[in-house]
Amino acid sequence: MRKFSWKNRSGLAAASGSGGGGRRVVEMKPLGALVLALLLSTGAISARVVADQTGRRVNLPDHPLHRLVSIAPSITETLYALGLGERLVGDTDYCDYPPPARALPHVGAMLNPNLEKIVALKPDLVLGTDEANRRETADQLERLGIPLYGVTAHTVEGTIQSVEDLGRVLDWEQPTQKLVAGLRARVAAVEKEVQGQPRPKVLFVVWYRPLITAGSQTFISNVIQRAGGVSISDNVKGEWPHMGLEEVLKRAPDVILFPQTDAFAPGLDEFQKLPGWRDLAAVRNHRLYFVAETIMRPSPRLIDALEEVARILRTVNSVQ
Amino acid sequence: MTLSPTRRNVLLLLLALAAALVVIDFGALALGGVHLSLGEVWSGLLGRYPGSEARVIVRDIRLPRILLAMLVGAALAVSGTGLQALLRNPLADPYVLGISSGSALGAIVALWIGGRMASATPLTAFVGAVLTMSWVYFLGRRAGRLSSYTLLLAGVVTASFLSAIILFVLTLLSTRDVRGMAFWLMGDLSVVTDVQIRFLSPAIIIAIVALYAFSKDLNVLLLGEGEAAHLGVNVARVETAVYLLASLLTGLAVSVSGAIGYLGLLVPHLGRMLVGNDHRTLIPTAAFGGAIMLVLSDTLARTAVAPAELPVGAVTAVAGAPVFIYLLRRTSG
Amino acid sequence: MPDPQSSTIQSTAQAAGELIADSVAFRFAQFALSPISLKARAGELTAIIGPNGSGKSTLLEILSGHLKPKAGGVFLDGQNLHALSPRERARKVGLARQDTILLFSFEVQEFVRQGRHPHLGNSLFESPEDDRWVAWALEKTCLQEFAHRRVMEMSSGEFQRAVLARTLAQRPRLVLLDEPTANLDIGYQVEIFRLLRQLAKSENFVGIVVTHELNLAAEMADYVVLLQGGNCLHQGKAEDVFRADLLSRAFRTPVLVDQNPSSGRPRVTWVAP
Repeated sequence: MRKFSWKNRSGLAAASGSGGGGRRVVEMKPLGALVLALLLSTGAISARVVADQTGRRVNLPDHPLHRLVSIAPSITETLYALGLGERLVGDTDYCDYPPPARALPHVGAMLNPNLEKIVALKPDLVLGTDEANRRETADQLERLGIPLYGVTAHTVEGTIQSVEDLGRVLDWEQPTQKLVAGLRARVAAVEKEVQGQPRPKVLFVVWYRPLITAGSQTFISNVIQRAGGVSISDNVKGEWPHMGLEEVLKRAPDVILFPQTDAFAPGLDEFQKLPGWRDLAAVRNHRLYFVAETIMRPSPRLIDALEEVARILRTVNSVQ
Repeated sequence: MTLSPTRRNVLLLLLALAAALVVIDFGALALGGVHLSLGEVWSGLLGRYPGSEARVIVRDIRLPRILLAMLVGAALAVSGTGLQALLRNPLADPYVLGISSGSALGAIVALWIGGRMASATPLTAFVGAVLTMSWVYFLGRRAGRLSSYTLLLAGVVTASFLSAIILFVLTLLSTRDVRGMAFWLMGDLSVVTDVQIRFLSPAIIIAIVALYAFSKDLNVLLLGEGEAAHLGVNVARVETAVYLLASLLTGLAVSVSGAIGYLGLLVPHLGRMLVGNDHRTLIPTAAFGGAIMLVLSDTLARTAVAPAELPVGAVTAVAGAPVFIYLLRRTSG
Repeated sequence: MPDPQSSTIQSTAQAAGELIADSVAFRFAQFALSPISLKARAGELTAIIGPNGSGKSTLLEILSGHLKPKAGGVFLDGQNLHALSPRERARKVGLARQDTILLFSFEVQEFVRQGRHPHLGNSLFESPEDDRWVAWALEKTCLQEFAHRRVMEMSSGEFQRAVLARTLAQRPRLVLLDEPTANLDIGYQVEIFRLLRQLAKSENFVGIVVTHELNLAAEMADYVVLLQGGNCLHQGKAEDVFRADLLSRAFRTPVLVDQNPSSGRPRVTWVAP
C-alpha cells in the first residue's frame, strides 16, 4: 500500500526533520511573476501565495479563514488545542479527539477523503500533513479551487513548530504562542530532569507479528531520545524496520514499550511464553509498558506521551 | 533424469534428502546476526550452558524458525505437487485455488476487529482457509463430481474476489496496521510459538504421508481423468482426497507464516527435473526440497540486511523468478 | 427391460472367451442408441464401423463397462461388466482412446507401467511380476529400445504402439480401441492393425476396434458391426457387411465394393462425382 511521498519534487527542500518550518514567501522571479499573474488572471480568489511546510505553493484566500476542514487527526487535535475548534466544519472518520471532533461532518479517510463532501462544506482552507495525506489529494483540491495547507513534523521540535506555523497561517498568533510556550516549557522540564541520568535502552514495538520497530526518522525515536532513553532501532535502516529477534537479544534493551491501540492488545504476559521474547531481560523483569498512542501523533498530546515515557524511564532507572 | 521408483530407491532417496536437510539446518543454526561456530550450535542444542547467549539464540530464536521453515516449506511444496497432478496443470500452485487469499482475509479481519482478536490471527487465518476451501470445492463440482477445469476456474475467481476484499479492508485499517499486514502477506517465519509447532508438526507430516499414499493414483491421474478411470482409479474419491489434503497443507502453512510464494510452484518442477514425474519419488523430493529451500531462503532473509530482516516471501519471489525463467528456457529449448 | 445389474442374466451367456452385449441401449439428450446385441469372440478382431455420430464411441464405452446402458447388459466370459468395481474391471478390460494428455514428460517405460495399476492392489510399488509384464508388453510391440525415451518425443505411430503396449500390460481379456489409427500414415495403420490381430490371437483376448479405415477393417477384422444413427445396420463377416447398398446408405455417399486382388477381401472405393 503505497502513498506518494509529500516531498516536493522540484526540490524546494521540505522541512523534514530539520525543523525548518515557517512560512516562506516565494521570491518574485520573472517566471514566478508570470505564474502569479496568470493565477490571478484566471480569477483564482488568491491574494497570497505562500509555501507550506512541505514546500508546496498554496494560494491562500484574502479573507479571514473561518471555515476549515482537517484531513488528519493530529491537525484536528491541534486546532482544538489552539481554541480554533469552532472554525472546523469537517474532519475525517478517524478524528476521535477531542470528543466534539467526532460530531463534526466527516469527509472520509486520510488517504482518500471524499472530495465531494469537502467541496460541499465550502471550506476556506483544508489542512493536512505529509505523513497522513497524499500529495494527489492536495493537487485535486487545488484543481477544484480549494487550497490545502500541509504541515510536516517528524520530531518533537518539528511538532511544536508545526503548531506555531498553523497559528501563523490562521492569524492566531497570540493564543498559539501561549500554547507553544507551555509545550516548550514542559519539554525543557523533562530534559532538565533527565540530564545526567543514565539512558535506558528502549525497544519500541510497533508491531510484534512480525517484529516491526521505529527507525531513527520517526516521532517515536525522537520522543524516546528526548525523554531520556535511547532507541535500540535507531541505527537500523528504514522508517519502520523489521528487526530480527537475535539482534534485539544482542542489543539487550532495558525496557520494551508498546503503543496502546485497539488493534494491538497482546496480553503482556503472552510475551513470557513466546520463544525468543521470553529470553529478553526486559521481558523476564516485566519491564513492558504500554504508551499512549499519541506517541505517534504530531499534536500537542505528543508532549503528554513524552512525559509518560520520561516517567517510565525514570521508574526503570530507579529500579536498576 | 528419472529415478526408478522402487522401494529401495525411495528409501535411499529419503536418506539422502534427510541428510542434506540436516546439514543445511546446522548451517542455518550457525548463521545469523551473530555467527556461531558449529560447536556452539551443538552445545546450544543440547542445552549446555543454560543462559548463555548461544543457547538462547540457537534454541529459542533460530531453532523454532528453522523447524517452522521446514514444515511450511514441505507443506507448500507437497501441496503444489498434489495440485499440479489434480489439475493436470504444471502451473498450478497452492494459491491458485484461493486458499491463501481466504487465509489472509481471515487474518486481516482479526486485525480489523482488533483487541484480543489481533493475537488470534493464526486461528482466524486457518478458519478463512477452511471456509475458502469448502466454498471452492462446492463451486468446483460438476455433475456431482470435482471437475479439474471447473475447480481451477472456481479457484481463480474466488482468489481474485477475495484479494479485492482484502485490498478494501486494508484501506480501512490504520497505516500502522497495514504495515503489519503487509509483512504477513509477504510471508514471515519469525513468529512461532511452541504450541504452534507442536500442533503443526504432526498435522503436516500426517497430511504429507496421506498424500503420499495416493502416489500411484496421482501418476495415473496425470494421463487424464478418462484414462485413469479406465485403469481402475476411483477418480472422484482420489480427486476429493487430494484436494482436501493439498488444501489442508496450504491452509496450515499459510495461517502461521503468511503467503510465501513460489515454493509450491517451483519445487515440484525442480523435483521433476531431478527424479522424474513418478509421485512415489517426487513427493518425498518435493517435501524435503521445499523444506531445504525455505530454510535457505529464511537464512538469507535473516542475514542479507542484518540487523533488519527481509520478509521471506520476498526472498522466495526474488530468488524464485529467475529460477523459474531458467527452467522455462531449459524445458522449452 | 432387463436390469443391467442383475446377475440372473449371466446364466444365459455362458461361453468363456466371449464378449456378449445383450440389447444394450443408451440415450443422450439428442441421441439414442437403439438396443444392440453383438457377440465377439476371443482370439478375434471385431471392427465397429459407421459414420460420425452413429454411436460407435458410445457403444465402445458401454462395452468397456464404463458407461452403464439404459437397458441391456454386457458380459465378458459370462461376467456382467457393469457389476464389477472399476479396479476389477480394469484388470480385465483395456480401453485405449485418443485423448491422452501429455503435459508431463513420461518415459515410455513409465507410461506402459501405468497399465499395471489395476494389478498393484494395496502395494504402492510394482512387484517383479509387474515389471516382467511391462517388459513383455514392450517386447510384443517392439518398443524395447524406446523404453527410456520420452513419450512426447515419439512419432504418432510409435506413440500408438506405446498406447497399445500399455493396454497389453494390463493383461486384459478384452481390448477396446477407439480409432487407434487416426492421424497415422498408411504404413503405421497397417502395422497397428496387423499387430492387433496377431496379439488378439496369440494372447487370446477379445479385440474390438472402432475405426474409420474401412478397408483395413475389411482386411483385418474377423467380424464387423456397421452402425448408423444409433442403429446396427448389419453385422457379420466382412463379406456380408461390406455391401455397396448398405455402405452407400450409411455413409451418405455412393461407393463401390469389389475385391482386393491381393487378399480377396472386400475393398471399398468411393464413386467419383
